[in-house]
Amino acid sequence: MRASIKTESLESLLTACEGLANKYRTFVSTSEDGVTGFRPLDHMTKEQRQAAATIALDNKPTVGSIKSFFFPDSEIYIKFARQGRKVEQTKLEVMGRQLILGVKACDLKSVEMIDKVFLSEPVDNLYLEKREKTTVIAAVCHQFGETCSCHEFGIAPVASAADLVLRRGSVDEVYLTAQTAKGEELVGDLLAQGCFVVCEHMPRSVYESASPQLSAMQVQKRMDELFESPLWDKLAKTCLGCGTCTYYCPTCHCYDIRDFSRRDQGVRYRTWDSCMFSNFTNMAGGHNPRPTRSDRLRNRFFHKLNYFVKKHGELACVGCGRCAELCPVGISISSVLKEIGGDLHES
Amino acid sequence: MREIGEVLRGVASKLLNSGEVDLVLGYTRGESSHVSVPYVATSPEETGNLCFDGTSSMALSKYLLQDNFAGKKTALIVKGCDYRAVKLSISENRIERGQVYLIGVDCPGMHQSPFCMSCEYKSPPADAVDVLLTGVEAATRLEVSSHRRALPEIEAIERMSEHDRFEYWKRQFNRCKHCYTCRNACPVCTCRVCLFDRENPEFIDAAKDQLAQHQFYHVIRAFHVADRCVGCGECARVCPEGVPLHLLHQKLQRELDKFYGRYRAGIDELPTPLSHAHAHEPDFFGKVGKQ
Repeated sequence: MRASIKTESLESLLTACEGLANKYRTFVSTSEDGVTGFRPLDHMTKEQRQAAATIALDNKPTVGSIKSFFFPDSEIYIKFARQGRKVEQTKLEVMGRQLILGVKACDLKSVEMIDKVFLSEPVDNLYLEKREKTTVIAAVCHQFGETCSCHEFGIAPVASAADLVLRRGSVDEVYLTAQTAKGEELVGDLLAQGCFVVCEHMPRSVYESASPQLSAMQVQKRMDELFESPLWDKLAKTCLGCGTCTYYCPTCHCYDIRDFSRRDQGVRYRTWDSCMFSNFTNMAGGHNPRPTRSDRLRNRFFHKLNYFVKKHGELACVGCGRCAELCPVGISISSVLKEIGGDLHES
Repeated sequence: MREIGEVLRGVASKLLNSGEVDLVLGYTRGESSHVSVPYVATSPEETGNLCFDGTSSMALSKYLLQDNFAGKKTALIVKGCDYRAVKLSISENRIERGQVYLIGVDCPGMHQSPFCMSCEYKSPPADAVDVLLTGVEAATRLEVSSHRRALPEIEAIERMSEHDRFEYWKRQFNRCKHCYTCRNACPVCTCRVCLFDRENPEFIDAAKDQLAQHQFYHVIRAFHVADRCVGCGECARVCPEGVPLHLLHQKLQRELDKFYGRYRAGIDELPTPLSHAHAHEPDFFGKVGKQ
């Protein structure tokens, strides 16, 4: 039996997290200038703290996904300086532990997918370190957001991969259930803060499990038939070629490695890259294997709906609906699934 | 009165039927009923999918610069602001007038656009387009008034202290992920190869966590488009992080008006204020220009 604890409100959970500032840096989903995202608790304004009570417990994911906590948009991993004729590496600051509060089940599932890529051999140590040092509290959704389709992908609102699951009570109180060793540890830490009590019963969510309605196999097969389809040219006519779909997609994980130097010092960093950009596949010498928008768009949807299935056995989409909401021209996984036709559902 | 969408579908169908154009570039209903998205009709049958209403905000002329529209005569739906962008692109030799058939629409104003409430150019001039559609129902029309002060947010930012103003823009820019949606949606951002898609110059870098890089991108872009901005508001609408880029561009435009006289891109003729220089003009970057 996993430990469950409760406290009177999200605010008292936030206060308890502040008490743990020496151990964890806490990030909470809230809003900044009307845009939802995870912000550090120690830099949140009073309004953002109040907004967290609704946004962290809301039924839709934040605009930016949690992938940036494990795979930051830019990340320096070597610093170097020249001294005389020698080049020396300078030490990087070691990251501390972090606590992320208000994550949705779809985002947790996407992290499990990126794990398959970054944690298989050869293991990506930059990613691994952040995975190990991060504790995630998932907040259970109570209904579907407007562009949500997680149920199609068999994702239940109770995130099984979360360290802890947060449920709302009938009034303001919040219940936390640990699901991993890191979760148990945090439960201990929170109880020591004094504002939590152990409880045996907690509210159940609308449904605790889900089975996929979309068949990854069927989608993959259907896509195999469509490699030469005119569909990609048709979609590419209105695609803007920007990076919104890739940067906000929680399962996209492509990056570039670059150096930046000034005078006698510099850094090597990795940074998000997007397969929708024309220079993504541009080679030294000028050859580009995906020269047109149509090639690039097809590649993106094949990666999500075909290549990933072949390699890892599942669709690289969690139905979070960000592409549907953010693409300025309405090209999304769900619109493409409608376009490709055929019976894509589990029999 | 017939609905504008119905008239539009009729015009588009006739154009494709007669072979006068190869494509009709317009809007169709998006996945959700309260958005419309760009749509290319290639046959008279497909024109049935076209629609136009207060959600058809995307500026479509930018697509004509893409290879897949090259050599094809395209009919294009243009609102007042879109027409300004088209005129600019034509006069800058980026679009050929003969390549396009302009279907002007008397714009009802776009929902949630920061510009439409004070727009003075809702409709393209009747003699500049090939056909002008009017008749958007009064019920769906936004209350547009040219007396309303445009973008009061700019004055609010001007009133901030220098420190607060810097912090304001720092906070906005720090959310930027360099997805380049603003650039790609902007109808007057029409360089063949964008500076930010190049491997050099060296001061430009791909890091997304450096304020200097955000400033390079947004300030350079603002200077490239401010004098040519047609006020469609798309940069702000498409930004996933809600960065109010339109305020930056419009503020710069107001400053330019002070120095060079009022210039309205896509209405007044070329050259635009920043595309040329005269010896007697103030030189803010030179030795004597600094005030």
